[in-house]
Amino acid sequence: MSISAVQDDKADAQEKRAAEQALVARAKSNDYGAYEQLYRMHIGRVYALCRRLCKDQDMAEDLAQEAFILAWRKLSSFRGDSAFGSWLYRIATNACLSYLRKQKPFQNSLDIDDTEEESMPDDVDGQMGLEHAISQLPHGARTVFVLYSLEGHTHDEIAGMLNIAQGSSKAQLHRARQLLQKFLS
Amino acid sequence: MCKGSQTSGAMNTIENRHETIRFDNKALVQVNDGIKMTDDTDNVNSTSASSGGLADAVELQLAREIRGLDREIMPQRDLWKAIERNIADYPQRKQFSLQRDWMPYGVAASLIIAITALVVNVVGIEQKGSTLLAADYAIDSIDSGYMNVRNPMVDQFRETNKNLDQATLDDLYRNIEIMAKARKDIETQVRANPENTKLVEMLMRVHERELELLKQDYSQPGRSL
Repeated sequence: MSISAVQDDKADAQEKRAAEQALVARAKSNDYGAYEQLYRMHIGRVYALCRRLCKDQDMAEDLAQEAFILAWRKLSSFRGDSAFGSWLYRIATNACLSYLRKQKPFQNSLDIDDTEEESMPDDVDGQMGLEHAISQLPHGARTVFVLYSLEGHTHDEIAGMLNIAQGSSKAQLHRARQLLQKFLS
Repeated sequence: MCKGSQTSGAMNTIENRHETIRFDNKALVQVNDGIKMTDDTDNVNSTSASSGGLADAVELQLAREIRGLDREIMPQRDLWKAIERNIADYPQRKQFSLQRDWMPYGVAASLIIAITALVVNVVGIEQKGSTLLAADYAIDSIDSGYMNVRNPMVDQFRETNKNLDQATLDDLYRNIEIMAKARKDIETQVRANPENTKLVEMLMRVHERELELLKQDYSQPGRSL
């Protein structure tokens, strides 16, 4: 990638950030149209996060919806220190984890001593296959895998979110990787 | 095994990658136009699966698959209508902020009006030979303007700080009560000594201090009495 292309990318990113900040400012003034634009900009990523974390399509839609409603209610406290998207994804993550914590299988699967491996589907192939394979991971392993490998959180952050030790987060990730590698090999 | 992957000991390069993909003990990071696999300092676990060329190749294949995942997935139904219905019940509190923005100017304007009224009325009524009446009239004028500013501020204070714990709120109200009592005491003194201009100045300062107390948002971190 050339230097000028990198500069162009940087300028584009700054422009997008400024446009997003303007939309946030308008939304803070009760401009529902601006908030709808923010929704259209981010629903894809928010829903992908919810879908991968909680697996169930209907529940993922409900959680994505809840994330946007919560974000609206907290919008006045958003000071723009980070990108709106990052702030929104954190809200969505918390909404999903809050839901998952109430599920008994999730609580059980966070215990790394529960090493019962679940069989992976045989018919997985290519991109959709991996998506499906991720959805077949045990709750704990899938959650850590999504947060670490797809969302870019650190083990320290994940340990805090899930109220587990960092070592458990690493072990869950290792478990997820091993299961996914079965599909690839 | 994916085409285009090169395994070479500690470093593995896949062309045309543009972001970091992380694993249990490795991280794929962008280097120039390619990607190298490096030790990931965030994770010190080593695994048998990651040792050896074949295992690295499998990891790289997994990394490629992960990178190929859609960053965005659209829900099957449009969620906006339901969101819009819900957020309509929770309008942003911008009016509240606006009120806070002009409040200091309102306070300043009210105090100027009150002082002007004091001077004009004291001079006017003193000319009629009734200093005591002039003082009473002046204080009533100040109080009237002052209360017009103070009362909405009390409401705003309650609203802004309603999430504080009870002990902190009790402390705040105790301080405001002390200020209010001081104001009343000085007013009494001014009525008794209408020619003492220092007392009038003191009264004005107490007014200002009381309004300052009410104006502050103690619910914000780092704010205290």
